[in-house]
Amino acid sequence: MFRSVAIANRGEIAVRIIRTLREMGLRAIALYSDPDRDAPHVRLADAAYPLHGSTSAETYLDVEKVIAACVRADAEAVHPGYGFLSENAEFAAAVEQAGLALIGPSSTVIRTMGDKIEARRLMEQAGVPVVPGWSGEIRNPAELIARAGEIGYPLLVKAAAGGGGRGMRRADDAAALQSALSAAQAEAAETFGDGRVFLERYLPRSRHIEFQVFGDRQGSAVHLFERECSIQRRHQKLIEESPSPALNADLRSRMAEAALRAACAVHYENAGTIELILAEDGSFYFLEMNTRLQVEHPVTECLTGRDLVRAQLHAAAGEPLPFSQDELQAHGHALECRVYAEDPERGFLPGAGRIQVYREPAGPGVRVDSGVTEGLVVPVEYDPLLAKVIVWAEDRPAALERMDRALSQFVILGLPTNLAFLRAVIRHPAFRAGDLSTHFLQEHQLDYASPAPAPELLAAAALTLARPAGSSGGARRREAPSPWRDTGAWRLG
Amino acid sequence: MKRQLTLLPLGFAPVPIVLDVDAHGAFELDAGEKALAGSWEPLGPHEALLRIGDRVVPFYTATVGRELHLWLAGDVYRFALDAAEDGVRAAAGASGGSGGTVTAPMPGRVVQVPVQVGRQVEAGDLLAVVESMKVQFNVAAPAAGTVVEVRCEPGQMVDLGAVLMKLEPNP
Repeated sequence: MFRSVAIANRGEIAVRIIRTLREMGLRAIALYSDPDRDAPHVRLADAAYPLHGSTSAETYLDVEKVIAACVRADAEAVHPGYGFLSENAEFAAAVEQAGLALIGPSSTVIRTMGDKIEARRLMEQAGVPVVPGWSGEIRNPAELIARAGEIGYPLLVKAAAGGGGRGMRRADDAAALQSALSAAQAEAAETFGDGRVFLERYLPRSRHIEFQVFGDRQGSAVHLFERECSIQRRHQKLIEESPSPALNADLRSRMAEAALRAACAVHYENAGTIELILAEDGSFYFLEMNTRLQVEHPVTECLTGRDLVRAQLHAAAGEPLPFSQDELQAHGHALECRVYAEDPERGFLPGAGRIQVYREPAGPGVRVDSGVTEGLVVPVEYDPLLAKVIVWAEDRPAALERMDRALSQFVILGLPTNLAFLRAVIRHPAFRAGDLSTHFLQEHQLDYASPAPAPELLAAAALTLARPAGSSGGARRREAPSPWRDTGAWRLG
Repeated sequence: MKRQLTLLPLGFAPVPIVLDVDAHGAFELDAGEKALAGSWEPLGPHEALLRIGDRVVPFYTATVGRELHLWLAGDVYRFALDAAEDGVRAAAGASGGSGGTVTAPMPGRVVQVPVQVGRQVEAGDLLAVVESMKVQFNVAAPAAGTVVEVRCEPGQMVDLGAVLMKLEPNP
């Protein structure tokens, strides 16, 4: 096993990885940008090395800087987390060249699966169903129309190097196809530096079901069941759960078998995710493979009782998998909500700023993976994920009640959050019934407005606002400076 | 000590109230049809609780810009702190500015300012692009007019509501 591991990431995932390193007695090395000087992952690590600069491009995305810091820190291995450099084949190759171990698959596998056209071809070869489409060359407009006609409308034009909905366009008929193609190609070229695209049939009201897979250097591979991630906003996952309410035992075993076949086809090592799309008619298709730890991996950890980061470290050290397929069992129901610093009442605009009050929920079956603390300034440079609330309970109804309870006890003041929006989804009758699709949030009107102010709320506001500057206030006032000295803002009648 | 004040909860109508609170925190609230009596215990700069009969109601507060944010029983309410003159309500979550003032819709970094002073713009024309947390927001002209002042440049960090530029609307 390695003695020291650097984390080429920030926020909640860096914190989560350090926790496991601590448990295993390994030296945890944090890397940080200027705005992250005091971030929780820096405070928690055994050592911290600066990546001078502010933006992602200057810091966590700078391959040379990251590798230099790892070498300087005397790290033996690098955990890339998710996002940033985690699916960057050049980074993986640079890590290998620097004599470090990457906690993840090889650069070859990352490169292969990062090319969606290549991945589609491999999966077809391996007998894994792919969405009907065309990924060959298209020489002229007539051929484009002909291929599209074979696939059927509506269809999607997708970027080979794509992800997160970028470089993707929908065409509902032949008239819209050429402009969709041009737009997708242009966006793909600009975003990924690779304008290649392919065509795929659009599947309405489909569900996003993914399987956690794990492989070792000895050639074994297992799956750790599914996660349903159908609740998305602008291709960003919001709520994930397992088991999926859409699967019965038969469908689950057929999908798991396809996922394992996909992983074995590329001799997959370490933790990965096979994303599948489940159509309304019960057919399912390979969508893509994520060659890293997922944001939503705690759902699987709660469901199976396994520490995926620990297993990743063992696999990267060349050890056989710490669990066999038979030893893996799913218990109860696990659910995750992503808490973002964004304002649902103002078009989900993000809101960076200082967290003035921060109280996490706790209690039986509640886990919070967080990258923030009270007093921390959440920087504008990175994504708005503040924390993930994960609950486990004996069944889905109990898990939903537990999540509602946990979210209702999460106090975050100082910047906007989507907590009320998440609760509205959890409470929605269609969500409760398990009637999900990736268009859930477009199909359903959610009521997340606060109820009209109750008398105790008015009292709380009035007492706070009327608190005279420097007064001793109520009965058991502690010695603390009044924050209200300069408000002077309420209106006297 | 008896006080009259008007609470300005954003998204709801203003609420005139009368509050009577003594040195021990015992209070009486009269909000028209709604009346309430109990005691108030501040526990710190951001935390307090109410005791109303046998009920204990903890709450948390923070001042954010010109708003008081108040968490109570799982919901967050915002109250305008602006010293509103009679009949004038503070703009609820004002963004994009009003009149000829164009403001930042969110805290972030200005990445693009495609206009200069003197430029004629139509309603909806792009005035600036602000980026925050991997989201880009296009700030558009609220009305046709002339750019009379530009107060931001690419690379600059701005707060929510910061004045980006001023427009003189066409007559």
